[in-house]
Amino acid sequence: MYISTPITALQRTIHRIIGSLYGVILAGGIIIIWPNLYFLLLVLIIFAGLTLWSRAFSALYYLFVTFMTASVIVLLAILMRHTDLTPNYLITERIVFTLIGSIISLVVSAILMPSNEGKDMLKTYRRYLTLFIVDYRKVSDVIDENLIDTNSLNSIYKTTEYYQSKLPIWRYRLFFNVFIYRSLILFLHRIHNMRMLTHILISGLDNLQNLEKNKDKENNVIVTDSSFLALNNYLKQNIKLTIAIIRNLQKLDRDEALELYIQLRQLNDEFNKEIEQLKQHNLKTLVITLREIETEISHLINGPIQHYLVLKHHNLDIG
Amino acid sequence: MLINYIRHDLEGVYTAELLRGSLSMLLAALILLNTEFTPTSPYILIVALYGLRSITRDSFFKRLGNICISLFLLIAVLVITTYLGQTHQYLLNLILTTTLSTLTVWALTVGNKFSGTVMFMSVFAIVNFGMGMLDVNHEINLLDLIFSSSIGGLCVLLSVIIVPIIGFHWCALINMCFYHDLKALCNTVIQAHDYGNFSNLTIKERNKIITYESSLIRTTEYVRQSTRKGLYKDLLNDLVLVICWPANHTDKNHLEHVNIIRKSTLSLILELLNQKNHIPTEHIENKILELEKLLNQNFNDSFCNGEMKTHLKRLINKVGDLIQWELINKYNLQDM
Repeated sequence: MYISTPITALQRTIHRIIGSLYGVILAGGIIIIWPNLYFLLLVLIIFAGLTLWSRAFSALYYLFVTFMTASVIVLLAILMRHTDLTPNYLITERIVFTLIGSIISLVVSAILMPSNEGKDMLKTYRRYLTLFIVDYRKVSDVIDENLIDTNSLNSIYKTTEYYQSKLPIWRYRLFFNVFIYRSLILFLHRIHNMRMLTHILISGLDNLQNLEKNKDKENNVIVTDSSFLALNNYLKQNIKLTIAIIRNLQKLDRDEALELYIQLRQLNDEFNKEIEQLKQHNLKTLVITLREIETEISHLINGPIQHYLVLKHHNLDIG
Repeated sequence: MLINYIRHDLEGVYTAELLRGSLSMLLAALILLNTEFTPTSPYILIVALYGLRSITRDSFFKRLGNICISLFLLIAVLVITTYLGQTHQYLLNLILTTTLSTLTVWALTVGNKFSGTVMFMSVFAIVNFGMGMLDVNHEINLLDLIFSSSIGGLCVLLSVIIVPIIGFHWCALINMCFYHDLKALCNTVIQAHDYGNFSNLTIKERNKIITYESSLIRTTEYVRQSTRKGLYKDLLNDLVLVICWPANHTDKNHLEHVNIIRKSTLSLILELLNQKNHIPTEHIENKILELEKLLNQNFNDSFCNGEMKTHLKRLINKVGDLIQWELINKYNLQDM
């Protein structure tokens, strides 16, 4: 959690102030209640370990500051036992100087650092859309009878977890824009859902291909050859269109994305009709899944995040 | 609380660091208590507290080497800045402090593994300059300072040698974590209102589901027994698909069916998991058969081609296999 913008500086400063206060209260209480040297050394030993341990909670930077502050105060209290300095002095000085340091860091970061939260959000937006494109391309691999990537589920959850863990940072960045913050969460969940739907699609296609391979053995036609051909052609067109829409969303070209979306909807309608005519119930899950992805795409095109980013970047060269 | 702790430190890396940090401080405190107190004695504690760096995945000797370099740099800064303070060389200290501060920001930005060292070097460049300035009578002898700091450094090195491992394996606690999250996930889905699409759930429900699913997948990676790991993976593959199975763009009947079969299967899983330690094997088999029968005989509609049912059947069978495997393991251990 390094400082890249004034907002992250603000976030870090808030954590530092909260952590310092907690640390001062914790250590101050211990020093005042039980100032025995051996006890203080024992507390210092525990706090030293906890300082290193608290880094496990990377989003809770204040936890690290709390234990760090507490161990520094206990350390100084031990070392200054033979001086005129009192624990009260250490505690009040720590709070006052933390506040002064925080104000200086905030002012400097506000003056020197560029305000690029919008660009950061665009980066996150584009990266997350790219993840869907990468997953959706795997559908073509299955059509071409390549092997299924068995680790894809792991990768979906790893990346979703990564972006979920970044949400507290966005909470600070969009402190005054709760609506956009909530829309960002919705967007992240939507992409997660689309990736999971892709997984369902891949697993459904794989099942169908296994059935197709075994149909001679069982002497039972499950899906006709003509429907298979129609399905393959349709899926290839669908993948091409879907990826083109997502690419346009990444470029913040909403109009072009919308135009392509209308084509995608027409394509889905045609395929649905064809499946109905051929009475191929085995393909229904695929149709439902593709329809679901289509709906999610329409939400992405008309979603507040797309509008917000278009508004923020209308003056920038975003190509 | 324990589950939450393990979830945040599945590799046991930070627990190992907690041990090393406490040990380093314990050694420093023992040395301080058993030696004569001098003006430089505090540096035993200071170096023991700030000298310990997080251990990365390098080999043990490489890690030890990295910590030695880190300690050397920290002690060098302590000595140099104390001297600069004692001799009131403001300009030189300003250049040193500015350089170190810039290096800190750079190291944090690029995620350099020496970032912690550089950060404390820049902190102590300021603190010790002040200490040197306050030391009007030159009570802090630089050789004594090096000596005390080296003792602090020795405490750090000893703690690394005594606790050489990068992390701990939580063994059975990892499984406890898995079952806890699995039950919590089932509970969340059961309690959620009926949905035709994962995006129809509330933000809170979606967040909870994603958190539990991610945690389950991550926990599985740390399981060492290959059979158990395989069972966990198979179970999760079907479970996550079933949870986000789409049912919009169909009819009301199908939507209702999908929700009923999803919830009844997850309820059965929850029931089996809650009684997993004292459940007769026949009872598990009967329950699974009952559910399979229910799925086979009911919930057929024009949108259903049985794919979700296949996943559900596979899921419930995997849960049955897992519980039976757990029971066999438990009795084998008792026999031994």
